[in-house]
Amino acid sequence: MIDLIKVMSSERFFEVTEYLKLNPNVNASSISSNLNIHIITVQRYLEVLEKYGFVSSREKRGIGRPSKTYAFLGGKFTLDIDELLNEYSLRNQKIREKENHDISYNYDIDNESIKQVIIGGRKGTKVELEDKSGKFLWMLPPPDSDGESIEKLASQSGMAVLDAVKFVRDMIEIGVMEVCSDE
Amino acid sequence: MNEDNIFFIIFFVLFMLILQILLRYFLSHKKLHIKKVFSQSFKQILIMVPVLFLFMIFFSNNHWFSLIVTAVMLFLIIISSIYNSVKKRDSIKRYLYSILVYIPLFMMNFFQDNPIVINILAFIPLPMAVFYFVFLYRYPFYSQYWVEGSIDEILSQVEKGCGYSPKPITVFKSTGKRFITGCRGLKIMFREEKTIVRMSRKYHKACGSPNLKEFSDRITEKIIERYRGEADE
Repeated sequence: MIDLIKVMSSERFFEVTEYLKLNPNVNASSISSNLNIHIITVQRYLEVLEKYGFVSSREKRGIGRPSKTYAFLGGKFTLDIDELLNEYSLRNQKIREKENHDISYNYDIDNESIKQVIIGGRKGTKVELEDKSGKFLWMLPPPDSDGESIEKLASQSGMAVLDAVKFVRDMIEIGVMEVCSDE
Repeated sequence: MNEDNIFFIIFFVLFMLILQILLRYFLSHKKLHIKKVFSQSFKQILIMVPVLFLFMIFFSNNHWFSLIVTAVMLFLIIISSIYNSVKKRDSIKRYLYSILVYIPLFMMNFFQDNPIVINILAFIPLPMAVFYFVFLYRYPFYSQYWVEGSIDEILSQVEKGCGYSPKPITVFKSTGKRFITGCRGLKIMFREEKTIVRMSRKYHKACGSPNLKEFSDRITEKIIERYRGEADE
């Protein structure tokens, strides 16, 4: 939910949404060139809108790489402050790395960041991490340690607390982290 | 092979063995157990001598091939030193030192017909090597033997049978100066504000699976103490 709130507070979000409503079945590159907004920003808006069902996408195959076209669907967005507060309350949970022989990492020792989590050996599934998530995971204490609070790790890696809580949930699910105890 | 050659080989092997024992004993500041000093030195000689002889036999019959291998080795040393200096992994002085010591040794191969040049090239690294051993004795935290000895002390104080992490451990303590130290299976990278400790899975198992967090904290503290001259040695 926090990702949607974040993109909605961006300056040009509604410009992109309005353009999409008036021009159905366009791709990110076309929106970017017509509105003069960086393509990465447009892609981020569209990804979040699609995640919450406000736009639909269709893959268009032709010469070269397949491109994704988007159409506006609209809809309602309810802000559940209780859910957000519940997530926020998890910030004091102490977490640490879980020993898992199926997990390995691809990391950059100079930038002090994990680039990929590899599940199931060298040829296994690779989970790409964003810079801040990579730094968060880098700081994570090892197995059998006392752990560190999500809030502290988030502040050390420059990540928003709610984003960090969501990231921790995802990582617990794939067996990278475990919760030690509540502070 | 005549009698002189056999004597030379015996002398060389004995000299290398005694040198290895002395280096381990003194550079570890007597922290390494004497049994470990002897077993490690013997193992080193058992591997090093046959490898050296194989290289000698092979290269003496393939002059051009030996020149190519030497040139590639030189190139790799220079490139890796430049890369590590640019990445600021260690002080430039230490990379310059490795270049000054290894390059003359490798260059000897290019002047096999000129004994004067070979003698000069062989003696260039000698004062550098002596200086380096004195430096390592004075600042033992750069020496792998001292680090190994310190690890042996620490291992008796930390929790064992713990989990392993393939990810480096960050310790928020440092010497304030960038340098790399460690031993085989353990790399300790000091940065301005933190220290990064990376242990191999094999070494972790060989050490009895210590608690990585506790171990990293203690070894970092030990090196910082020695760096600041606070250790009681």
